[in-house]
Parts: sequence; C-alpha cells; structure tokens
Amino acid sequence: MAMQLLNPWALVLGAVSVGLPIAVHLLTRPRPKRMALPTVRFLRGVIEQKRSINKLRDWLLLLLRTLAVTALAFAFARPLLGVKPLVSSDATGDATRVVIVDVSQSMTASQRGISPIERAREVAAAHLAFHPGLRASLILAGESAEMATSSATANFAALREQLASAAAQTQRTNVPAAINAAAEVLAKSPQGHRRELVIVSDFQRSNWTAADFTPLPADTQIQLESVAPTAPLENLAIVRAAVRGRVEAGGATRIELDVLNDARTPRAVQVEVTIGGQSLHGSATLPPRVRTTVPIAWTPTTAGWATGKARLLDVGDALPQDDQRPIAIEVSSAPTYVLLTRESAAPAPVSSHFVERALAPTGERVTRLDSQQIDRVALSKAALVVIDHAGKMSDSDLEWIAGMLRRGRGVLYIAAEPIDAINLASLARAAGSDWKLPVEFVPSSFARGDLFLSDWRVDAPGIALLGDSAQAAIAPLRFAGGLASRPIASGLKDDIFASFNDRSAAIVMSPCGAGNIAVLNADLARSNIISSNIFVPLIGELANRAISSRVADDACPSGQPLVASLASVAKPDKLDIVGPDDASVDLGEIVVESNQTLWRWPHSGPAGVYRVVDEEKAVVHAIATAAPAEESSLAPIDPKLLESRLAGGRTVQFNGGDDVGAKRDDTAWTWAMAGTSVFVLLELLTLLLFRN
Amino acid sequence: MSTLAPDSDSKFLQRAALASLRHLRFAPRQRVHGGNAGRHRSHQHGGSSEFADYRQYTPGEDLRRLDWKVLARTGRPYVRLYQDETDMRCLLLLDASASMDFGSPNGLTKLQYAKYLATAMSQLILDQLDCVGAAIAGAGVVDRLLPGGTPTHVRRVQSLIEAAQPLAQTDLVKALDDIRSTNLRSGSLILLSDFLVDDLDALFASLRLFRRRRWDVLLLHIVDRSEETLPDGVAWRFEGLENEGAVDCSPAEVKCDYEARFSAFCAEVRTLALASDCDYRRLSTATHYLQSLSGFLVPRGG
Repeated sequence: MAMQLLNPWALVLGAVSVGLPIAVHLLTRPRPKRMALPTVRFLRGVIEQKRSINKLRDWLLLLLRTLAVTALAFAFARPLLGVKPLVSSDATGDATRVVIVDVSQSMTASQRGISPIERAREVAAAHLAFHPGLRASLILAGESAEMATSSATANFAALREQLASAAAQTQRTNVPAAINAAAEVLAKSPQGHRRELVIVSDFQRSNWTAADFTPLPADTQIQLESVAPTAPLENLAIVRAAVRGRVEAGGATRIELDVLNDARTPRAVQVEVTIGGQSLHGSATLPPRVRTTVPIAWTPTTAGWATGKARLLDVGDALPQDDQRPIAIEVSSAPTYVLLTRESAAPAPVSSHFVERALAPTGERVTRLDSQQIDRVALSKAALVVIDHAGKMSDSDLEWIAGMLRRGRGVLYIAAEPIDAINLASLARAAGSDWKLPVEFVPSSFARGDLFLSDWRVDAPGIALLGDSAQAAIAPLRFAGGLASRPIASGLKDDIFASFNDRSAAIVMSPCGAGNIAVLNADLARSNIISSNIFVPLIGELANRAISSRVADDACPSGQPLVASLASVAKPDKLDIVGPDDASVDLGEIVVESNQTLWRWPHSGPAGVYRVVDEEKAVVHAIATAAPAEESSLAPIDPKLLESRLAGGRTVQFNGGDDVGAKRDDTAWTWAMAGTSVFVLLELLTLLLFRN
Repeated sequence: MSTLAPDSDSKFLQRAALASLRHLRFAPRQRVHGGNAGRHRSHQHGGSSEFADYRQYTPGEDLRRLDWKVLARTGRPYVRLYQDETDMRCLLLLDASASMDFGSPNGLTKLQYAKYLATAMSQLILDQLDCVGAAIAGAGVVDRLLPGGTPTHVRRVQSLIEAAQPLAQTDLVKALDDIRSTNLRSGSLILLSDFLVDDLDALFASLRLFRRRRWDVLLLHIVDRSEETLPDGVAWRFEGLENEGAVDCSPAEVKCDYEARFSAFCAEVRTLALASDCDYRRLSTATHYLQSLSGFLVPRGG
C-alpha cells in the first residue's frame, strides 16, 4: 500500500499545531509562588505517591492530544490510499507505453452482470489518456496479437476508439505472441523514453503460465491490471466433442463429449447433441474440477459431413459461450480398398488373390489396379491402399500414395520381394518426416525361408483374437520371402507387433501423417499362413487398424491457422466456403498445391461450423471451430508467480481485486476526522478517570 | 550558660495580661521531689500538718509519731502519717529547630508563640513560689538554666527564652539526653515543640525515660494554621526549612492527601504521648497564648 497526499502542506500545519499547544503550555505556565513549609516532608510523600499516577495521566493526555492533532492534520492533508501504480499518469518525462488488452473468451465470464472485458476497456482507457511526452500502442490479445497501430502513437483518440470496439472472441490468449508484439514496439522506443507495459486481463492460470517477459527490454516497467472477478466463478463447459474411430453410415458409434466442471461441487448435467437432423440426449454427474467424458450413442444414417452442436441444458454459469460446442464429423460409407499389384486378376494361388479374398470375400469393395498404370482418381476414393507384388513403382505414384497417407488414408504394404525395399524407401522419402516406421526394410542377402514368429505382442492384429490359443496357432506357421529389417534408433519399438526368428520384423504398423501404414513382411504365396485360421483375421484387422486412425477431430481452436485437404475434389475453382452466419469474417481460400486441393485459413473464425460446398451446394468438407479447452478454466494465476518467476528480471506489479482501475481511495480523511473525535473523547475520558 | 540577669523584662513577658491568670497555678499531676517546703505534695511523708494515713507502729520508730489515743482505744500501736509538702522544680525545654521558625503571614511564628508561652509559664511558676529553669534544644542543649526560684533567676530564664534563635541543626533526642545526664531531681518537664523530627519513636523513647525517673512530662505541640492546610492557588513552590529542598506542585491536587497526612501525624504524636504517660496539649498559633495557657492550666488543678 502506498499513500499520496493531496494537501501535503497540511502536515506542516499539523506539525505546527502539535507544537503549538506545547509552546503555549510552556509560555503560559504559571510561575510558582514560593512558600516555606516545615511540613514539606508530608507534601513530598503525597507527591511521590501521586507522581506515578500523574505521570501516566500526563503521558496519556499528551499522547491523545498529539494523536488528535495529528489525525486532524492527516484529514486536512487528504491522503490517497492504495497501491501506487508502477505505470501512472503522474510520472513525468517521455514514455512509450504499450497496453495489452485480453480479448479471449474468458473475458466474457460475467459476475453480477459485469464482464471483465467491460472493466478492461475502462482500465485500459485510463492508460490511454493524453499525457505530455507519452506515446502509446494498443494490442488486442487473442489467438493473435492484433495491434491497433503499427507503432506507438500520440493519437490517443484513435487508440481509444479501437479499444471501444474491442470485443471478446471465442479464442484463447496467445500470451507469448502478445508479449512479443509489445516487445517489438517497446524496442523501437526512442532512447531516453521510459518503457511501460500495461496488461489488462483476467490472467487465467491456463494461459498465463506460459508468460515470459524476457523478450521485453530490461528496463520495461510492467503493470498487470487484473479484471478477474474476486469471487471464484463456477463454470461448466463442453471442452471437446469428437468421435473415436471411423464413422460409417448405418454403423453405431459414440460421440464423446468432454464436460468440464470448474466448480467446487459436483453437478448433474443434461446434454443435447443435434447433428445430422438427429437430436441426441445424455446426462451425467460431473465431479468437481475435472473433465468428464459423456458418451452419446449415435447412428448416422447417411454418408457425408454431419454438422451440428452439443450443448448443456439448463445450466446457469459464468461463461455461457462454452456451454455449447459445434461439431463437424465426416460420415463415411463402407470402406473401399484398392489393391495395387502387377499380378493377374484371374483366380490363381497368388498372394494378391488371397489378400483380395481376405479383404472382401465377394470382392465388391476391392478395386484391383495395375501397379504400373495407376488410375489416381480411383485410387483417391479408396480408404485403404493395399500393395502386394507391385514391382518397382514410379516415384510419382509413391508420392501420391504418401500424400494420401498424410491426409489420413491407410496403406497396407505386403513386402514380399526385394524390390519392395526400393518402393518402401521411396515411399519413406516421399512421406518425409511423417514416416515413423521403427525399422528400415532392406533386401535380404540370403534366401529367406522357413521362418517362424518368435516374438509377438498379444494385441497384434489377428493374434489378439486368438487369446490363449495364440501359441498353438502361431507355432506351425512358417514364412518365406520378405525383407530383412534394420531397426531405426528413433523408431518406436511398440510399433513392431511381431518378429521372425531371424530378428527381422514381421508385422509393423505406425502412423504416417494423418494415416497409418502397415507392413506385412512375407511372401504370402510361399507361406503357410494362408491356409491357417489366422490369415483372414490378420488381413482384416490390419486393414481396419490402418483406416481406423481417422479419428474425427475435435473443433479447431478459433483463431489458429488451418489447412484442410480437399483431396477428392474434382473442380477446386467451383468450391465455395460458407460460414455459420453472414458475419463478414475472413473464411480463408481454396488453393491447389502439389496436386492437392487445400483450404488455407490463416486465422480460423469464431466458434461455429464452416463448410466447403461445391457448385451443387453439396458439402465437400466441414470444420468446426471453438475456443480451446483451457479458456473454460477460469481460475486465475497466482500473482506472485507473475511478479517473480515469470517476470524474467523485469519490474512487475500486479494490481488485482475490485479496486483495480478504480480511483485510489480518497476517503481516508473521513476516518482521520473520526479518529480526531475519538481521541478527544478519550482525552475527556482520561481526565474523568484520573480526576482527584 | 547565661549568668547575668537582664536589666529589663523580656519582650515576651506581658505582666498586665498575665494578671488575669494570677489565680491559676501550674500543678504537677503527681507527687514531686522538692528542695524546700512548698505547696506541692512530696514523695515523702513528714511532719506536715496535713494528715495522710495510719500505719502500724514498727519498733524503733519515733514514739512521738505514735497515736496514743488510738492505742488507748484499740490497744494496738499505730503511727500517724502526714503528707509532706514541697516545692516544684520545673524545666521548660524550648525546641529551637528551624521548623519552629514558621508562622502564618502577619502572625507569630511557632517559636515566638512558644516563647510567649514559656515566658508566661516561668512567671506563673515564680509567682506560685516554685522553681523554674529553661533549656534551648538545638543539636543537643545549646543553652540552659537549672531551675531556680528567685525573681532574678526567673528574669535570666526569661532572657534565655527571649534570646533563643532558630537553629539549622537540631536534635531533640540528644537535648533530652543532655538534660537527663545532669542528674536533676525529678520535677516537671515542659516541652514546647512542633515535633517535626526524623524519628518520633526515638523521641518518645527518651521521654519515657523521664517518666521512669518520675518526671511529670507535659508536651505542648505547637502547630500553625498554615501548615494544617495548604494555600489555594495553581502553582506553588514549597521550600523546606530543614534542608529538605523544594517541592513544586499544584496544591489543589494534593491538598486532601496532605491534610490527611498532617492529621495523621498529629494523631500519632498524641497517641505516642499518651502511651508514654505524658500530658499532651496541641496548641495552635491561631489561638492566643493566654487562652491556650489557661486551657491546660485549669484541668491541671490551677
């Protein structure tokens, strides 16, 4: 707490007033009359007895009188109580000031009808008032740091106008970006200017633990103005709405809703999901302070993009914006497979024939393509690409397949011949950093045969179904062909599901981009597995796992850059992007890069569902955007953390509570006047108590 | 010791005023030893005409004292006893301490008051044909005259009293010890003092020794009205008379307690005096000394 005096001269007057009664007392002290008294010994005894009491009385009276006069002087001095701000308009000299205003979603969490963003505008406006020698800049901190002006300016009217139009968005606060933007402005401040940074925010713990003030110039004075409500707020929020696994039309699935109960008590909630014309309901009791997953059963009826929203019913909390969350889920039809091989389609005891039958006994969902002349349009429609005895494939085809992998398609590669090592190496190169197979396949220096599985994981494809009989089923299996393998140091060993007795990998599966690649390292035609009861489950489960990685994503965080692949679109130039309403927000653009049609969106829009439609208004792609989950946790950060550990050596002052931004308390003079009265009354009481 | 008789009367002797007290006499409360025949009962039974008692005859006694008539009537020998009468020897002891040099404005000091009293008493004692002496108490006895009964002696006594001056150093106990060491025959000791001494117990212990030697002790406690109560006013500086320093105070604050203490002191002196079998009279300078004199002479059989 610091104190400032409106009338400091009153204290001088008070000091004089304190001394005045003493001086008057000394000057007007009566001169004692002298008198001889033989019985002075009795008088001395009486005085000795009375002296201690009188001394106490005199000291008390002196103290009370002094206090009374001091309190009176204090009242006239009109003290201003409160924390003396690090950044204030009282300072003189040239200064460059940057004001960061938090416009994240949490700034709309209201208490008694007042939201932090409203208070933030008022507080920030006080720091954007004209002052000689002051130049200021305003940064609206959301997912990106939006600067009102490119540099510090003295045009405070423009800054305040920008501030007045600032509204909270369904975004998080990108604290590092805001601080970096402020640092950029402050670094350009002229030599000799005082550097000041004012941050007006609710200082959510989930966002501000990432704060780092070290990019700021070392002499920057940082004042943090908290507009967070003083009382803890209770908030319920749907922080995630997603579907696990592949969603197929007609197939039962579950929409998983993660509901956060940011309160001190358990809460029972009801949720409603409206999607694809269906209205689904669920309920749950939410423990306090944790996220709880509420599953909602859903059976989509048609393939395509299903959009809608999930919302909490009858919930009264501090932040209504996160009580609902948009959903966009792609509903696929039954998966189709493409088998790339150079083997004949005629029924024959060859590997590709066995694989084709294992994937679809009737063959209707498997499209066999010549690996040397690939129809890419047909290839693009496949959920899974199976490569078996394909021979040497062209690099462009492999790059295309790598692109499919990155976009979430699955690839099952049956490595039977030495040439497959070349294909896999080319595919790895095309996939780049997305390639994460734990082993590198190389041609074997000797004829591979009579191999058997020595190590396998119990959850390996095809084996997991066997349970306790897995050992008995696997023991008679013998394999031939395939490639030798070398482990990669950075590879994840868990991705090797089975190994042969020569330590080469037998079954490997790893993610690659958004998709999965699985490698079965054997020539099936020369192995006896095709006649065992493991073969069909193995191929089927490998295929399912390769394509089931396509988990429907949760909503994209609002404000973050987005690139969506629209690979199967035939006429990119006819596509259009449609937002949730007619709001004039930037919806990004459709571009074609490397034979891929992409939806490039530098700053994803506010919460809602955004669709890409073709000329027939059919939805080609859909994306839901929403505020990140951390925006729903309203707990503020510990101010000491900001002032110490996160300060980075800068001078940081945290002003919080209800009085932030308000005028400093100037009512102390009334208390001083009351104190004067009390001291005078106490003096009278003392005189009464010590009356002889 | 003064030896020469003054040529004129003491200024403290007011013969005209004393004439009104001529019918009064100072009588001891008990029998006294005297040197000559007088009007006071002696410790001895002698040949006076005043019958006192009978006592059985003891062989060897003077037969002239045998009461023959009683012997004839009862057949048993009895001796007639007569009260012997003697004169009184009285010693006036005047406290000349500095505290006695205090009095109300326009009034007598305690010492002056005591001088008037002592002078008047010496004259009365002379007039009743008794012997009177005087002693001035300072740091011991600083001046004295043994009791005598001639007018010349009494003038010397009165002159001694007149010449007494307040002394800075006084020790009343030592003065009493000095008197006691002179082996005077017992008589009456009249002490005129304000009793403002350091040790009252020691003083009365010494007085009790006089009583044990059959002295008749009369204590005249002289107080002044100005020391009974404090003056009004805001600020006073009271200065002690016996090197006691000065005290600044507001009398209003301490008046009650002071008066209570002074009263307690007077009560203590009186209690000690009565406990020591001494006659005690408290005399105020506000009262005329002749009135005070008659006030204690009458009860003593004057």
